[in-house]
Amino acid sequence: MIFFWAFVIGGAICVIGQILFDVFKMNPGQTLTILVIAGAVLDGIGLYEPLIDFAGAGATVPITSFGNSLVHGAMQEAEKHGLVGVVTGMFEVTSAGISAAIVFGVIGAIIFKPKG
Amino acid sequence: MKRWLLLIGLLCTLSSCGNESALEPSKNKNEALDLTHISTKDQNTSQQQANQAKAALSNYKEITAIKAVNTSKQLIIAVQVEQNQRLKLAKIRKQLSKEMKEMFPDLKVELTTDKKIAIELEKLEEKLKSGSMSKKSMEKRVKKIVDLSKEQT
Amino acid sequence: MADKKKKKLPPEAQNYQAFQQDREVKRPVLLNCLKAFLVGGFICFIGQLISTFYVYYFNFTEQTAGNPTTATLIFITMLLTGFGIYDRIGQFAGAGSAVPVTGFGNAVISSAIEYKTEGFILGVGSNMLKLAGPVIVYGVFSAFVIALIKTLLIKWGVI
Repeated sequence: MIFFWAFVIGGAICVIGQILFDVFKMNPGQTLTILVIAGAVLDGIGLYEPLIDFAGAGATVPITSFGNSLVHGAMQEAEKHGLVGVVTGMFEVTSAGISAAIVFGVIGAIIFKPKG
Repeated sequence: MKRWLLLIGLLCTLSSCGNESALEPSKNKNEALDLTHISTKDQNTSQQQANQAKAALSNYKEITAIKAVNTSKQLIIAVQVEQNQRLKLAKIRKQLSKEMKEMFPDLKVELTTDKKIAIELEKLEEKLKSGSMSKKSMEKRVKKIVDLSKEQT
Repeated sequence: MADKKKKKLPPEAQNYQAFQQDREVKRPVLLNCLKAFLVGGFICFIGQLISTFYVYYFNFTEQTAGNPTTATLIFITMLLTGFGIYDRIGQFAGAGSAVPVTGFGNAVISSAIEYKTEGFILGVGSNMLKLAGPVIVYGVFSAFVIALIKTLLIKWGVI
């Protein structure tokens, strides 16, 4: 069942991105930035975690979950170490996306040939 | 600018609604419940508390599966919640955890909704049923599962 | 709000704007949304498969399976980007391929591959995070602001 909702919620978040593309005429950079900020805001309000519980990968695969993880990490560290944790804790919970992208970017540059 | 503030205000209101208990115990026994009772004879450590926990939790129709194992000091329960209720998963987990802790004040109670813990407990229950575990190895296994449930990335 | 902008322009510019809007390529919004929904949903579905696979066959819990799932998805993205397949998916699906984390990976990896001709340090190293940069910068900054507000509110007993 969670597979169905992963598909639907993931698709829905992408539709929101598409609306930002087509109706609001934004470019990919702006759209993704807005979505990440939206993920962070939703987690601040406490609405993103229930979405992850309900839709699984439908909420963790879109870029919005990056904003969610950053806020999560910051809040966890702030609970332990006070206000300074807000700055130090952000990347404690999430680094998989950025690390993997960089590592596989370099590997890709080594293996593959540029097209243009 | 005003539109954004209005939207954020709306989201704040949405997030604050609903502090009622997330589960209602129904009198009807849950038909499709996935749990196994472990008989108390032939066990090095009686699984009576685990069986009690399962009986108490099976009154909730939102729960689809319960796996529980106890040692002399620790009780670990894994619960699976039906899909439509998963939006309230955190609230359900808190409520059930509180209930189980009140029900078993002299045991360390861990209640989780994680699928992996449910899988591990099911394997452990199978081994306990066939009676092929020594007390020490069972306690080691339970400790491993409890540590697994506490992992955070 | 668009009307206010129009009123500030002299009449020739207003005419040109009307002319331009008439000639602009009309985007089939509904069809694009459907394509984005299908492809984006499918990528998330694959993510759920990978996540479930890691939970069942490895020692990951639902909580900890997120990281290897992301890493696996980006690995797959590297292959798709390297063989030029991801760009074709992107042309079809628009946001459906840009919004999932695979889109982020594709932005980084395709930049890395393209700038290889300028050398690894200056080419690959400097340009890799060009498209991904704003996401990281404003993600971190907005998370900082939100976590700060929330922590202060908790400290002052408001929440």
